Amino acid sequence: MAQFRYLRYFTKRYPLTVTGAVIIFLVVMVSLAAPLVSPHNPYTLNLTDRLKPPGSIYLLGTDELGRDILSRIIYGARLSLLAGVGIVGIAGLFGIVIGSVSGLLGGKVDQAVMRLMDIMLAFPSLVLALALSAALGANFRNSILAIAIVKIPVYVRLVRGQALSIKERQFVKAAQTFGAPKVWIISRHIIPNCLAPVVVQATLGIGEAILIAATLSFIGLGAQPPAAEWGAMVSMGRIYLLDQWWYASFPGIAIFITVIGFNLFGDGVRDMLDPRFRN
Amino acid sequence: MEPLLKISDLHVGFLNYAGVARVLNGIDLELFPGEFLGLVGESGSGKSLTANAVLGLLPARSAVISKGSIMFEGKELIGRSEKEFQGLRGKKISMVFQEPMNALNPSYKIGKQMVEILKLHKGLSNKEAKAEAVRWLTQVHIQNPEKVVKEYPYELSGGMRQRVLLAMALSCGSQLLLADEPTTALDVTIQAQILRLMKETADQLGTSVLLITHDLAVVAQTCQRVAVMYCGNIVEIGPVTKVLHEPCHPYTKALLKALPNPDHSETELQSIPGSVPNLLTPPAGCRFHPRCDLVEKTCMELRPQLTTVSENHYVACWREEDHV
Repeated sequence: MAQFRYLRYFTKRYPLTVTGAVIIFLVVMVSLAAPLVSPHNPYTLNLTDRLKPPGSIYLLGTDELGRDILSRIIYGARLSLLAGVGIVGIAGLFGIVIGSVSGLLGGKVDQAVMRLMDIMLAFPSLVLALALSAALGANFRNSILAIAIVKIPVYVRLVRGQALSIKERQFVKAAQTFGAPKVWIISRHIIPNCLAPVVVQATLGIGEAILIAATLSFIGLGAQPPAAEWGAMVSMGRIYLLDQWWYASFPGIAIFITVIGFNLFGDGVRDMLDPRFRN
Repeated sequence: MEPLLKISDLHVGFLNYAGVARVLNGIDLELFPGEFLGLVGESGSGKSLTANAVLGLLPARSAVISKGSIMFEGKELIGRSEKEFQGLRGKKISMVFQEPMNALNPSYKIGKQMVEILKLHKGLSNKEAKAEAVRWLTQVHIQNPEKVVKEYPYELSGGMRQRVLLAMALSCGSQLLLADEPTTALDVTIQAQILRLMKETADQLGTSVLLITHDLAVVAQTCQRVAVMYCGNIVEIGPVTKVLHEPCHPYTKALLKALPNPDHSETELQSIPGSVPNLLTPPAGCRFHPRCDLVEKTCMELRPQLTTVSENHYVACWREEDHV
């Protein structure tokens, strides 16, 4: 009962955050339960029902091969979530390790690492991701890797900044006087204490990551047919946009809602962890 | 008796854009086993720096030890590798800090932080280390140690945290404890408790303590000997009773005069005229001479060395014989 009251208070206090959380929850549930909730097989071709408008059998219509768009969107949620979490996960992990080492060691190592990151940040992220994923070979896994690599500098900078301030804190000095090796200081003192902003950055980053992954698929450098991926679906539907509006629109809306969900939630997490917004 | 720690003629400088700041200018200090030595002086006089030099924790990029030696248990510390120092820190030489509020990692429970050090230095198993941690918390008079090991630092008060840190510092059998203003951030009643605890525990274990402070009352309560630092020099060193009651150096005298006196609460507090000199261009000769009433020509030209005034009581002043 107490939890319920807290939930109600929370909803009233942070309506947007809760909306974001609900959207994320729904997307996650739907993608987990995809085989149960999707009305049709997303990959079954049904050439007699090509490009059918939304109706009672095909709720959101069908594509040019007669595949159910709703089912494909539901399965597409899996790929998009995987892309979002995968990209942020890989980029965050490398960012934390590189950033904390660079911040703690300082000096030449730090200079070298940070200038490399500056160079990476000087490229527009989409262009760099495009180039990398074209170089790695166009498929879904490589597109995630490419975007993750492009996003690493964001986390490196963030964590390095944190590491610089944390390493001056008394408990790090104290740990040194107790004879803690550098590896310990990084793993037990610096990393755990700089996670809060990384978590915020990561939640906000998932939405963007999903968007870039969809963009790469849209261009043809991400998920390849017949994969049910939202960006790829929009890309195919673009040709039919004037006559069969539903084909490109619904996957587009799916991207929009999911990204909005992560962004709202990320904003909320940031506000909650920022003491200036707390009262 | 062989000293546990013997610092001789230690010179430390800091490189910066304007040159070299000579922050330690020939420190001589001996600390005997089981002894409490107070190190007093105003901010920036090099007290903490001395302690950090002993632990090999001077900032590697800017600090330079240009001369001198630090002998611990008869072995030279200067020039040892970081790896060797890591084996000493926490095991043979430990430190407690001014601000217990910030000296514990906020992300881990007390028990875990204690256990890690015990595992590192004593090679205990997890279970043994846990038992040892509880035993040490009992040793520093923490009520309910089984509960405290499961708590996070923010759940403890400043005094309790300082006790925990003291337990951590001593738990691996350190022979030397560097206490860098351990009670400055605590209120007076807790201060007294912590000092009493430090004294009791150190006496029991035979640990030597270098107590860095600018509180002469703390020194009077706990130390056998006291060294007075000014501007990177030790200007006077001797038994506490001697130094505090029959000070020889004009700076020590001035410091003692600057203490508030409860019997004459109406009179204004005395201060030492002038301010601490810029260490990039320290005054020649005796570094205290610009602020000294007794200054004469020699003081401006030659650096005074520590000379004996009475048994174990040394002072570095050219005018020392004139005012004994």
